[in-house]
Amino acid sequence: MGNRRSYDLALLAALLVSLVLFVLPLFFFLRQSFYENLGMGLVGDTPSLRNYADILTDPFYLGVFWRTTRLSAVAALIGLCIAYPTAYVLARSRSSFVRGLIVLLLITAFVSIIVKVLGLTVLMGSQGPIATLLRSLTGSSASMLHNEFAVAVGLVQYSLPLLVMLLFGVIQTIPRSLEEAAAVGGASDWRLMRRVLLPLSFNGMITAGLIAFNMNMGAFTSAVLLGGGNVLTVPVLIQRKIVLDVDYPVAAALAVLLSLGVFGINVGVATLRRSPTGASRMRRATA
Amino acid sequence: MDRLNRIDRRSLLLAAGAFAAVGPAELARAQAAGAIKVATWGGSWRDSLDKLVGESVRKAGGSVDYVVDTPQGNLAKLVAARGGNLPFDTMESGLELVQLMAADRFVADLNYDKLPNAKALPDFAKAKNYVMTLGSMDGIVYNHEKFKELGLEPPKTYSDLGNPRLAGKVAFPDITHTQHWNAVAGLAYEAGASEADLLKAIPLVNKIKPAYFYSASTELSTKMAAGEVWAAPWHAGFVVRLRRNKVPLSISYPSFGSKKGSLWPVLHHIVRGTKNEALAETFVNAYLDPETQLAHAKATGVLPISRAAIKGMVDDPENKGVLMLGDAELDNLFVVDFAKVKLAEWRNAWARDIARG
Repeated sequence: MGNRRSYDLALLAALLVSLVLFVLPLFFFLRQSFYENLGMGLVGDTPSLRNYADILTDPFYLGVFWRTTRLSAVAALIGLCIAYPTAYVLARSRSSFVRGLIVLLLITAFVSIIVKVLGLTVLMGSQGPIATLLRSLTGSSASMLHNEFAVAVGLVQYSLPLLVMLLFGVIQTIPRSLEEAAAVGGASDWRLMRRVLLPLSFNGMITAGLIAFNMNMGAFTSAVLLGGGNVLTVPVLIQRKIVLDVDYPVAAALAVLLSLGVFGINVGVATLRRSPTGASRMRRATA
Repeated sequence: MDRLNRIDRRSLLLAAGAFAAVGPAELARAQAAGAIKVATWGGSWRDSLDKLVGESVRKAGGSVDYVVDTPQGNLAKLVAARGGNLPFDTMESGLELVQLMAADRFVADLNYDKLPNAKALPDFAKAKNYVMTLGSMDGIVYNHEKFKELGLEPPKTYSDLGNPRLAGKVAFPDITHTQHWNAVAGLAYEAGASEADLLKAIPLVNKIKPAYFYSASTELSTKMAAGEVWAAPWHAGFVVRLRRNKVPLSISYPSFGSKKGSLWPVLHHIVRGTKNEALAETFVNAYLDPETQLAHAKATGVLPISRAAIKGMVDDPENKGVLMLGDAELDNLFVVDFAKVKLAEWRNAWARDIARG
């Protein structure tokens, strides 16, 4: 009982730190979003919903929100497709070599995003190995950078190590005996995957996918460096509003709408997952 | 081995003792004189500035550090710090920011009595709250070997960058970049307008369809050197700097009506409320010294404001033929008149109407 109380106290400390470092700044940001921009960091004194109305009725802003959501969702889905088989192999392997691979994976997760993105610019640039190979095959020397495709690749690379680690934990919880029983019953690999593994790891996949999606929605570096000014996403737009226009209220309103959008999508997916019909529909769609 | 260890320990103790004695003394000396932060561009520009101008601050017993960003990015830092600790003491900027900064009183009025080197400058370089230090000479930087391979003539106008044979190989300065303004003004002139109606440049930028909008020259340098980009509106300084690494670059200077080529004046401000005003003035004054100007201009391929320093550039083998240095040429350079530019309208149009992707 005493132990439990000290754990609770430790949680309280973490909560307090989160409150000071996250919630309080967010509150000031939220507050600023309701005021008019007077220029050079100054804001008006009459609160209104004007900034929100302007953003939500402007096709330009809506287009940027749509592009950000679409890119984030596509990158999360591609990430899941790559991470799942990788995580499965890692989770099912009995080799001690696998531990080394997991450590490597962890290390890549800690490598700075700038370093990762610069690596991609070399790889995907017109002098990189992919373009060189394509040039020798097709004669074309096009760079693969500075478009939505490049940004999507960057987002996948950004979230992939985390996705593999999350799914590794999920697959480890599925008893190996279930797969053996299915195999004894004559199930093919595909059927085993469809009827045993995917349904049992479904919740974990959704959670991992949502985490990757959330990370992608806020990703700035990949969009700036790989998009080369050609791909405007909400985080890039927020940075431009602050640096170029020094328009804190609209930047704050964009940030609030981005957070609300991400929160809403997460709640929506979680609600759908909990409802029996929604869950079975989602499982069917996945299978 | 044991003896070696003893020596090592002794050396270590001696070093620690020396550090204990000298370190705090040096630190105290620097603190007494002060430490300033200068907001400027990064890469070879900052390196040259530190070597040539930063030294004056160190000689005065102070220390100097740099906040590296575009002028726009540094202004955003200044705005964010309003009412708090200043992020830097002096800053470099461009004409597009002067009105904004002066209106909100972010920059101090200069005391020219404390800047004796400014006496040699022409009057237009000495304003109430900024002094012109140097200027970049803007034009179209292109890889002359690639142009030769393609059988293309050197570009004469910014619109020439829309040649389909250059598709995917042209970069364009993004709105956060200093070289953006002369490039879009040039396109506006080519569309029959001027900086008063920059919107006329939009269809021409869309026709060029740049592969990429660069926001930092260091980034573009890498792509130019790698052959990723073959042409871009940029400034002569990078032709000089990249030629040192054998990158085959040349520059052409498009016309702006009757003017040929364009100048981007680099301005220096002292930030209002700095606690290191004397040291900031030492820095700015050293920046205006003709010999320092000449050395910095030679190193970075820009134009000194001091006419005496310009004369020294004429025979410089690296800058000769890249920069236009004749008196008549200098007098005929185009400079954007920001009193005519509708900044908010242009920023809005740049975000919305440029075809991307």
